[in-house]
Amino acid sequence: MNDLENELSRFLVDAAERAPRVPAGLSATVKARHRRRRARSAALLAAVAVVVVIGGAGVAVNAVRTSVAPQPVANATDKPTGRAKPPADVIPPSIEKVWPQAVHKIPATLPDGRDYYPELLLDDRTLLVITGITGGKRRFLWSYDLHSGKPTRIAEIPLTKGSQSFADDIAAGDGNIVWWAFKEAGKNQVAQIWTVPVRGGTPRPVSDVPMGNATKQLGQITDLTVVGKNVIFAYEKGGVYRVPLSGGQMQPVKGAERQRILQWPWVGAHRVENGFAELFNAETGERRDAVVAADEEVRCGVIRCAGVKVRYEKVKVTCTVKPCTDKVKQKRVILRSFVRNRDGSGERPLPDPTLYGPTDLALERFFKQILHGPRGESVMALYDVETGRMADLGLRPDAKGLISIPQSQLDALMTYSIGDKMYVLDLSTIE
Amino acid sequence: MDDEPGFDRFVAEQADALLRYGYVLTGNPHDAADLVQETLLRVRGAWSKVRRKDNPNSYARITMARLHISIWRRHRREHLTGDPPDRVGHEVFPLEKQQRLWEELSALPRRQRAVLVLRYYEQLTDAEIAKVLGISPGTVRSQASRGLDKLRSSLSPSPATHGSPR
Repeated sequence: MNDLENELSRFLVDAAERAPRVPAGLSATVKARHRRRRARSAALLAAVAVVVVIGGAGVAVNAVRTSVAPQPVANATDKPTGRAKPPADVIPPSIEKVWPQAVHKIPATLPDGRDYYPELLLDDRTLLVITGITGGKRRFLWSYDLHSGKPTRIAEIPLTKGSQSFADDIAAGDGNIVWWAFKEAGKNQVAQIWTVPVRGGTPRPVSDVPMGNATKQLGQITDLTVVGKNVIFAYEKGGVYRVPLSGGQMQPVKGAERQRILQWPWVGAHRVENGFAELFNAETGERRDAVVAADEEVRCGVIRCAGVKVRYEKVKVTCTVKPCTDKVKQKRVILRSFVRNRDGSGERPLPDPTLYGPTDLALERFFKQILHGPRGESVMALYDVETGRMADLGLRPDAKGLISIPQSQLDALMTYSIGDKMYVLDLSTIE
Repeated sequence: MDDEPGFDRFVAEQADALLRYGYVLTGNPHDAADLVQETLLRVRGAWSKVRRKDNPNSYARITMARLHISIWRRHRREHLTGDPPDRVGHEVFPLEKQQRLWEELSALPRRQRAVLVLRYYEQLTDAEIAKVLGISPGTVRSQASRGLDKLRSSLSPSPATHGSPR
């Protein structure tokens, strides 16, 4: 190594010491986000950069077509726009003022002091929570009454002996809660689906579920759904199955052998590009294909698709060093971002900038945005594409400048904590 | 449920080192924290496989490099750079030369910077870098030499070469 290289090497090691420290609870945060994002995990893992080499100089160019997080732009014309420059935004009123009916502010710990993680809404006043994720060895399910603030223990989740794994992908419906676990610690060939009534009781296994055979891995269990007296689930790699809650053999759902569940009974192919653009109803057979142009990348829900219109163009690279060999590279230009109904109607532009782009929508309707306050501070806001209204979630960067980001799901629940309060939003109450 | 034994320990043992790596890769604490969290999320998603087959640490580091140069990161970063000025002023180094080096590194195209960080921080060979980033060894060499050239010319005291047009 020459002098510069030596210097650079030493400098990078020194500079690395200025890195931020690991925030407390990082592992728990990651695991919580993992659970919430489970439905998207297959797509994300597949979304590693694809590199395309064009031009004689061997310029490596990213030409990834991914809809994981397209970049939205401000206007709705077909002209490419530059990076959004933010003067101070108008900060909307707090969510308690804008949509008071949607907000439940509850203590961020249970009355006995233990941490909990909100899983789902059992009904409009009852939150299903799990405790013991951080630290504790025993994990419990609780129903939490959002009106009285009273938690009621439902059951202890039996841990697979010798395994540290715990209930993941918890689902509930028609009075029953379900989850799955590996049957034996250290082996991931067979899973078990478990259930317990919402009113409490002793959890019992419903059925064994093979995770693969000698030649094929099916991926883990995902998209768990309770429908009447059945559990329905999909493998991450596709394939929808049904098993009675009372036990018995799992049966493939006809026509959905390669599908994932968007929202039962709607199933479709779960792809990185144009995910769930084609849907069909596994109960009635009705098809519901989305209108998608060739130059669009969308992500669809049951009623709407959100996405971007893109153009790939060759751009000349301005070099700073002679001799310059980089001549041309291919650039993905976002022309506009939009949300519209699956049939193509009712299109409207998305605001700029939505946090993770058009894919990050809650209940197919609400987008998170970071606004810029008068002092340059970041303000996390929630934007309703149906009414155009916006509310300040109250989240601000911490002392390290990190801002926590609530997850968006297809269901109505959005949660986040500020200080010792947990904000539980029921987005379905918003007219 | 998931097969996650050892994940907490992995995070406890490696997260600081991953953040350091993320910091020199991205050049600022926000993106470093984002990158590490996103990476851990992916490691967590593949944990049973990673734990069985691979070295989780090397899997995480490769994922970080790929994520960093992937279009996903670029979009996010572009979005965030249009964002709050609250990161400005965080990176101040005691020596003017170090400060300049840091700024020059920040100004490099992210692929060039990634190549330099993999070479001089991770101490990978060009062949290994090529594999991690999915580019040819020739491209690694040319990117590295271009990056070094820029650093050299801007660190050189000659006013003629400092601050070449961009």
